[in-house]
Amino acid sequence: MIRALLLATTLLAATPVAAQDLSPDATALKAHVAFLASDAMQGRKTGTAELAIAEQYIAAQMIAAGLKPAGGNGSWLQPVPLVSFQSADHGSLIVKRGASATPLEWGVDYFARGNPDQARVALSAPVVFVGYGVVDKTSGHDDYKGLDVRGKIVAVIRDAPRTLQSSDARAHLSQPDVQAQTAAEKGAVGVILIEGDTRNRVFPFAAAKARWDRPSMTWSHGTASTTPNAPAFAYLSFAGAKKLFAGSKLNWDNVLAADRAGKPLPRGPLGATVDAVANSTITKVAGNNVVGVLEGTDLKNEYVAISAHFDHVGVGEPNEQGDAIYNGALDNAAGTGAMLEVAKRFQAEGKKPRRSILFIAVTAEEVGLVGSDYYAANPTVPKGSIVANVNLDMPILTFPFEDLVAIGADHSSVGQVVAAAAASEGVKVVPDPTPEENFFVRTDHYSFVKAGVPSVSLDLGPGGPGAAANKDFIDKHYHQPSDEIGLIDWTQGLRFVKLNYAIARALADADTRPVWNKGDFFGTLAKEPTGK
Amino acid sequence: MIRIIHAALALFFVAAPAAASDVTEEQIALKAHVQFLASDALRGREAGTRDFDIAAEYMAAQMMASGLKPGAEKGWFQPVTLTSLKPAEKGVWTLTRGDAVIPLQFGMDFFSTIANGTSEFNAQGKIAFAGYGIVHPEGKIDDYRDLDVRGKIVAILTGTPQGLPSDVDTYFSDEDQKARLAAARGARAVILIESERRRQLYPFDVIAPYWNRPTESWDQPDGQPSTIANRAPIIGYVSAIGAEKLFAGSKIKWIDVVVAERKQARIPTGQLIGTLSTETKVASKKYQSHNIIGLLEGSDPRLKKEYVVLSAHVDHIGVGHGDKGDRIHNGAMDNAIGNAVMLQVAKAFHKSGKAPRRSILFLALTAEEQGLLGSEFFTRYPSIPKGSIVANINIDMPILSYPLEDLVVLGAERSSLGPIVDRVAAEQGLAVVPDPTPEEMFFVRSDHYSFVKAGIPAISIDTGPGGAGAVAQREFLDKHYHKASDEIGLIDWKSAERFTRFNYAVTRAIADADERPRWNKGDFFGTAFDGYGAK
Repeated sequence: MIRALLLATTLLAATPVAAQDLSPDATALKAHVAFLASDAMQGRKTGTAELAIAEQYIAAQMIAAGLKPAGGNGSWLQPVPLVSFQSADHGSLIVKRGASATPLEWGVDYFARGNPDQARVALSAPVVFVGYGVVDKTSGHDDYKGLDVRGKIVAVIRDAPRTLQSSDARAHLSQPDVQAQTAAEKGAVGVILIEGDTRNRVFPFAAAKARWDRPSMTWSHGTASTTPNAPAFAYLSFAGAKKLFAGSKLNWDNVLAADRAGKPLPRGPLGATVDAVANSTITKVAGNNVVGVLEGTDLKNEYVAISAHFDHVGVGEPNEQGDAIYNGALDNAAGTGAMLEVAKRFQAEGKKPRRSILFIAVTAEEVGLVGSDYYAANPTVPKGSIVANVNLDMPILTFPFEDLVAIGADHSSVGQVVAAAAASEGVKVVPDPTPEENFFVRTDHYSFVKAGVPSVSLDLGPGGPGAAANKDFIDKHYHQPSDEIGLIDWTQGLRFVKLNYAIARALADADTRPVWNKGDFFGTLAKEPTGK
Repeated sequence: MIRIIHAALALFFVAAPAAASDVTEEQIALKAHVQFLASDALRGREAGTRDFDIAAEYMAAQMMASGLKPGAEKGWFQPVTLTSLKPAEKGVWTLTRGDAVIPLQFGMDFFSTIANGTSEFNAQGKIAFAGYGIVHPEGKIDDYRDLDVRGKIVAILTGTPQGLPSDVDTYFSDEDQKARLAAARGARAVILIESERRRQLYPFDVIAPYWNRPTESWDQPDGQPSTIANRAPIIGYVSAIGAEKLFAGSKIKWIDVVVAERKQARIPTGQLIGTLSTETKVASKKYQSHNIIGLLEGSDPRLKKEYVVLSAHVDHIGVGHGDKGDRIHNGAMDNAIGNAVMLQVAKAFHKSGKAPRRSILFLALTAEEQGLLGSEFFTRYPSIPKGSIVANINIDMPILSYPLEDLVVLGAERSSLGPIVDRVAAEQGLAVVPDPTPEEMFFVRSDHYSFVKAGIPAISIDTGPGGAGAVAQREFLDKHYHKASDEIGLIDWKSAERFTRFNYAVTRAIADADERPRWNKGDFFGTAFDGYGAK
């Protein structure tokens, strides 16, 4: 589970178990966590030797579960072209209007943003302000309507309109990557992000600036990329925005006021040209997704993808006990272990699923859902053949759970399948009790969503002791050295495995493939089948 | 499996020359273990490295998944502190006769070793020459007859006289055993003189450059390296040229020794003229490792207090030097497969639903490649009461690269384990054949030997020469042993499965037998190490 802050969405963010004599199946799950979350694994950080060892462990366990390699080229591993990138220097940003040239001041008006593909972004182009830069087919919202941005730089508020119905959609559309992608599709050559009202309250410019040269990670499209590219190369404060808008027909104060009020923003060309440079340091990082497949029977050309990230955050600040190893037992050794045990359960049951099942251990989740994003964009099975994704991320297995939250369930028919399968295991599916945490965009199923695959991410629900236990974990152990194996109740772990097996089985054996709800925002992102 | 040359250099061992398709679930499980343990990511699992520690975590997790309980005092791991001992400087030896100082040249006449591993070890004394330094009453050999060595430095020839029974020969191939005889007779220290036979194999000039190669040792609970127990430690190695100088002026002439060796006659023994003063300085470096121990409790109220130990070393030799090509010594055969087999034996017990009568310890050992250190430590400081270990079955580098037809079970002929092995093999259609290469001295080159030294009936189960075996084994030893190419692709999984089934059945049979295993009456090793039933 990645930190809300890291993903930086626009919306407002976010007991040891007694020894048991465990059943063999519960013990098997425990053994995975014991290994993956051992101190020797040093917190499984992306790019480390330990994560490469975790890859080998998972591949070995997939072998033992009777899966076949599905990482491509007969391998268990799918290499992910990870890059770490960061701003190399302050760069420059000059606003030219007629004969006047106004250099913006770094750290006050703007800071330059790093770029994973281009070590040097140098642009000179007229600027058009396009509001939030959002185009949403379901609601008809189009910030580009009537504006020609071809060859131009667009300036956008780093947010999405509050008028959007779905908070999930809003979380999605406010991602800079999505804003930049939309801009590129419209023919723009670059994007200037401007701090908006929400952002200013959640994570103000001064705080964002303090992290200006912090490394980020993503996967590289490489230099040979043919897709349109409009890098979001700069981030402007209110002060910077004021300078950018000065002298144009649009008034920044009016824009900000409309943003605050949740009203439509004025849009249009700013009558200025921006000359900008943003330099980045880009470093390649080694990493692989680990992928195994269980071949189906009559519907075997369709795939149900079960995913779980196996990376965590490594070694960091020691806690009061002097422990500096962030073991990530729940986040997400438990999810990975559960996925492996679901695979073993299929093997033990002996009855093959109708659809094929992909088991995908994804890398580099904690640094921004990178492994899953790469997989979803570069699947090792034919595009469009993945009919559903069930993602397991940080199941908080510390209490006797009564219900389940299936993040994303309300977007597609996967939700109904999950609910029915869970009911058969005596577990209710309940709505997300903390939509404000934006879990929808904070875990790997979102990568599949973006690729048009109906997806859910399963968390344990608030019923019974759940609310308190979940909060306790998040407050005390989430991304802390204390996220250790002792927290886990293995009886619950085994229940969770059984539940996921039932869900995977139901998705794989259903007569029809899952569909997006009719008119669902995410269903319209990709041209996948939707309900009537 | 430890290198014979390694042993030769570090301890002056040695006597003789060394000359996929669709698979079953069991095969898949074996393959999975090897795939992980022998992956490049584990970088050859060298004891003391983090790579080893990760392999250890894997073994513990898999033991857990096999239904075992933690078998060390605290959890799965038995801490073993290892010490790497290295001469800090060249030893200084001074030979005096009356007022005359006879210079001894380091690297030409002699080189020094780590002695008993303490930072400084000085020995001064007259020199007594004790031939091979062997005492073997049954063979009417006593090199110390009429020889007073009290407080003296004893000079002995490396190796053994020809014509000894092979077990005696094997036993004395360990020069430390010879040093113990000297210590028991009050000697202060031992120096080894290269015999002619040894010179033909490993000439002094070849060995001498490695004089400061580290010797690995395990620490006693008091923090001292185990080498401290050598009361008359071996302090150096003398060339034939150096020997001439040592013998000069004595009643025994060096040439007489050489001639006697050539003629295989008794070597003359006696006092040499002069006093030898030696100073040894040693640098040490400690590092941590651990054995991994899982327990399967027995079902019989009485017999469960007896333990059968199934062992396999999990360490290998790490990453090699150089910068070209594959440097990672994966050790798929040596001994990832041995660990895979051990884990699958544990799983087989688990699946059978029937606990063995005796308890079984599954023991994944560290630091085998440095000289059987993990097993020595375990047998000295077992996690269960001393004396409760009734048998050891060791798996080390079973060469499983060909269709298996027969087995070699080292040590089987020495104890009541032999008949059990034979019976189980017959049931499974496998023959047990004698060791075809006794000259490799495999008997003392793997961890079961530590159990033998603790008086415990022990066997090491290896694959045999039948069918394609002889050729395949030779090929493995020549091309892949301790090389980067010891990789998973070499393994024949069908054979691995058969081998696993055999190991399970043998372990089961030993654990369930009415009688506790015993040494054969009068067996050389059983007697030498005071084993149960030998006397």
